Amino acid sequence: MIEVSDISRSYGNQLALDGLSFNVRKGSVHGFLGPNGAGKTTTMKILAAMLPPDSGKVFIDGVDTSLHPLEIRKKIGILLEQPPLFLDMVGRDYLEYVARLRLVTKNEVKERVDFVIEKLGLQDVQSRILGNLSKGYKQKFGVAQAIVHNPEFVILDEPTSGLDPQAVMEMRSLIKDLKQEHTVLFSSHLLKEADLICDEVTIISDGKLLASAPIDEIQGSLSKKTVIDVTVVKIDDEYDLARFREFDFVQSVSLIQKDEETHLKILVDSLQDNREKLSRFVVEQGLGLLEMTQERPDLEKIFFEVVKRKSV
Amino acid sequence: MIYLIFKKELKSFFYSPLAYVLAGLFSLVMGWIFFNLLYSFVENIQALPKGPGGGEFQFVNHVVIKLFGNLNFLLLMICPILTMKLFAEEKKDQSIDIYFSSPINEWQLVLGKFFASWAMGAFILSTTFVFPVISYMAGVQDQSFSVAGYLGLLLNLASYLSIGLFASSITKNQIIAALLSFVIILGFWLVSWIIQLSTNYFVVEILKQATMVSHYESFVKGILGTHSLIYYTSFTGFWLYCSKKVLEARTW
Repeated sequence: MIEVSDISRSYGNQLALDGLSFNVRKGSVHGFLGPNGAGKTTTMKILAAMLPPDSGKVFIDGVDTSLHPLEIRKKIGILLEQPPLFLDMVGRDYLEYVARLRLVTKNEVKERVDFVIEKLGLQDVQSRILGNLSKGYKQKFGVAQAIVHNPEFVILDEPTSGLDPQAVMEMRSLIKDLKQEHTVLFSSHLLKEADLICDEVTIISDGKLLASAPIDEIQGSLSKKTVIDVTVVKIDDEYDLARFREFDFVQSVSLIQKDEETHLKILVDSLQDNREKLSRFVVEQGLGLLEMTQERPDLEKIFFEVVKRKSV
Repeated sequence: MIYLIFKKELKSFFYSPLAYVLAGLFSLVMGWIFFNLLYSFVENIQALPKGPGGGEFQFVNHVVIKLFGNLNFLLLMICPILTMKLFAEEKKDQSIDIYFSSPINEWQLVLGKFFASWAMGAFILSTTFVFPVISYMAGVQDQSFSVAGYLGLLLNLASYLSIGLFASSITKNQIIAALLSFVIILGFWLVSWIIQLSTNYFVVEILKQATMVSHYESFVKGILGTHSLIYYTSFTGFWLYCSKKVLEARTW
């Protein structure tokens, strides 16, 4: 488990992190979200014991990163936004070198390097000079170096940034796959991407914590209203939508015609699940219930909601 | 771990065409200088003052000492080029993060790179080993001056490289790193020239001991002083320590 406790860090007069605290649960994919300049990379460097915090503590499996940085680095693999590649090296030699730096024993180096090359699909380019590879392959070698020593925790800073759509898909599936063996902390400016991949998220802005919890919990607690979309057979012109207002939890109802289908958009209090009551009511009213879905607020909405609330 | 970094850096030097260009230019210039020194020596041998060692004394005075003086001067040009990319390039492309995210400390990183650049410098110097061989074949039996000269040169090389490494550690720009190390090394040379103008005995002695030029001169004259060895070790150690401190600061 990663425990971040009240860390602050400045660059000169500029405060990059201001009393940040959150936890990363073991075995999870933890999304780390925030606008540019929020302090994500600085936080990740501190977690990987690459930078000491000015104040506060980070514990990884109970070990203080400031007191035992070298010990911590054995447990962590990190890929920052720019893959740290020696561009004059051959891909395979590079991974072998990094494995040795990360204390993989001489006997195990070949096995580990073979494993990551296969996992990332780098067989065809392992003998090529890194400087001659495409951005997608460079990024894959960046991920490969982060996992070559089989760390418990993998930290990825915007790993899909600048990749083409095909490479983005591959990278997302790889990150999901990493969850089988590692705890993954992953930052992205694409909130939808975090929504797809992460189990829990931490949102920061201006170096301060805005929210940190499992995605479902955040969605439940931060979004007070939700929309239930009811598809019905038809509604007569004289039908009074105000009948739905007999339920306390209904805030408003609107009628939408879309693709020859009739939709009722019912704004309700999201803290309760009222679909059962609503479906019975729609049937009783003889509207012909075809479908009912509760629209889940996506991370993007939550993110902007949180940022807005904290800045007010 | 130091050996691992040393090996990687040395490989990187030898994969780069820069190493061969530098070695080629260095041996070409030094070959030309050696030829001229020999030519001038042979031309003027009768007019040169005779010393206790006869011809060998003259040869040492008029060829060996001048040759090592020129070798040292060329090192001033070469060392900044050898060291300029060691940290600056890796900081610029952020590949240095590999080291900062690995369980190694700054000393291991600095020493691995330093020894690799020293080995590379020694390789370039080795292209001049043919000069003592030629002089031996020409009849100069006593090569102790050359041995002492090369030892001094290696120590001087270490001190220049440590300055170069420091310069490379404080910037992301290789050109600035090269210029800065050139200026710092030249600064020490200038001090050794300027002190000759001073009449204050204590100032002269203190500054003399503080610059590498006077220590190097003793080696070239065949004097292997313990104080010079201590000087070079502490001088090189100081600049390597500064590089380590810069890496530890990591504010970029």
